[in-house]
Amino acid sequence: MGNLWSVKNAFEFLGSECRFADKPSQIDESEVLVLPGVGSYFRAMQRLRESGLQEALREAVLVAKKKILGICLGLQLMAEVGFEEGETVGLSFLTGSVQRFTRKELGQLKLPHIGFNKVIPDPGNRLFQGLGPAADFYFVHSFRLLPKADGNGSMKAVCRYGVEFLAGYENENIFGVQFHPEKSQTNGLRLLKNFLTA
Amino acid sequence: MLKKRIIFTLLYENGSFVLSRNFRLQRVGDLFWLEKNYNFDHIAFYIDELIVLDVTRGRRNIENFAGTLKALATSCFVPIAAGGGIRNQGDASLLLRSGADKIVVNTSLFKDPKMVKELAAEFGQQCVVGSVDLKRQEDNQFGIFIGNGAEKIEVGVLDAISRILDKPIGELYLTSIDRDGTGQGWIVCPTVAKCR
Repeated sequence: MGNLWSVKNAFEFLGSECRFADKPSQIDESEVLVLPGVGSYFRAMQRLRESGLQEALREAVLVAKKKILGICLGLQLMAEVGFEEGETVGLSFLTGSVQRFTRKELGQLKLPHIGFNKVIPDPGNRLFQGLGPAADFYFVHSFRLLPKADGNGSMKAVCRYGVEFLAGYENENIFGVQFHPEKSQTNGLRLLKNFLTA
Repeated sequence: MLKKRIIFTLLYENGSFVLSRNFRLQRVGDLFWLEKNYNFDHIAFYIDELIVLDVTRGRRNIENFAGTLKALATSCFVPIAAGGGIRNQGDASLLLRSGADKIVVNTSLFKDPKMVKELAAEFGQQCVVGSVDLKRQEDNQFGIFIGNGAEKIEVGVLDAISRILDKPIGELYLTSIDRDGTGQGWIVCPTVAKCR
């Protein structure tokens, strides 16, 4: 997946003005940031580093405290380290690592995990406001974020595929989802709207 | 637990949408017609996924197809798979830039497996949907047909499906030519049901 066009299309439907940022200055000019997933962990981090976007993102998110939403690989990139195509240092906006589901966890289940699955958010989660105690979202992934307990007031949403895994994360200005809200129909649009108004 | 998905398939031929029955096409109307008579933007909120296929017999115009796809995708917030006559990475890339999330391949599973592999390498295995059309034969056995159902392949269903499942595809999309457009549901091919 990782279709930039769909993410932009969904935000425009909600009335936002959207631009693809390929220069650090565009990150500075933006009010809120969205980090969708494209390609593999290694390649994505490499591109962020080489384009200077990594530094701009760190500055915007950690210092200027701009709101950011990581989607799919975008959520994973915000971790400390990813283990797709070797070991890659991530953006480290949150603590934890990104690893493939294991055979033992999955049993007979197949990878990638594709389709709509039930997500259960912590009560009070801002992203999931108005979506009830559980809501369905569309997933396409083989890796997932294993967060470290950080005790800093972060909130989670979980999903189950053989094993329970992190489907949503939020802490202050940092938001991330493992599923694709831009492909999750009414629930997804509501979540994106919640992000914009959070 | 993964949920069951309601997947809607739209068929496109030379600028208009068509109904199909047993792979025989009947023209219904263009994009404007679809919006006006089906209120597709509204319907799109009641399905989980959309497949759009260019089933044009003869020469296809992929630019026009991509344009129509883009117009559809703008008001559709579900995963979209598109295909029909994908010849190379460029074709796939054009559809992916026009709102598709996944590429459907059918004939090339048998005629150009190298391209299927390249698509998976470039866009990821989750991006490739393998489509297989099945039809019951006179001897009551199932056969696989490619090229819009026009050409039978001379490989047994079990062999063919097993080979396809070994290819880098994310999903398998089966169509029963016998039941296509009849509203009678799918014929479960026992051989396919056995494949894992």
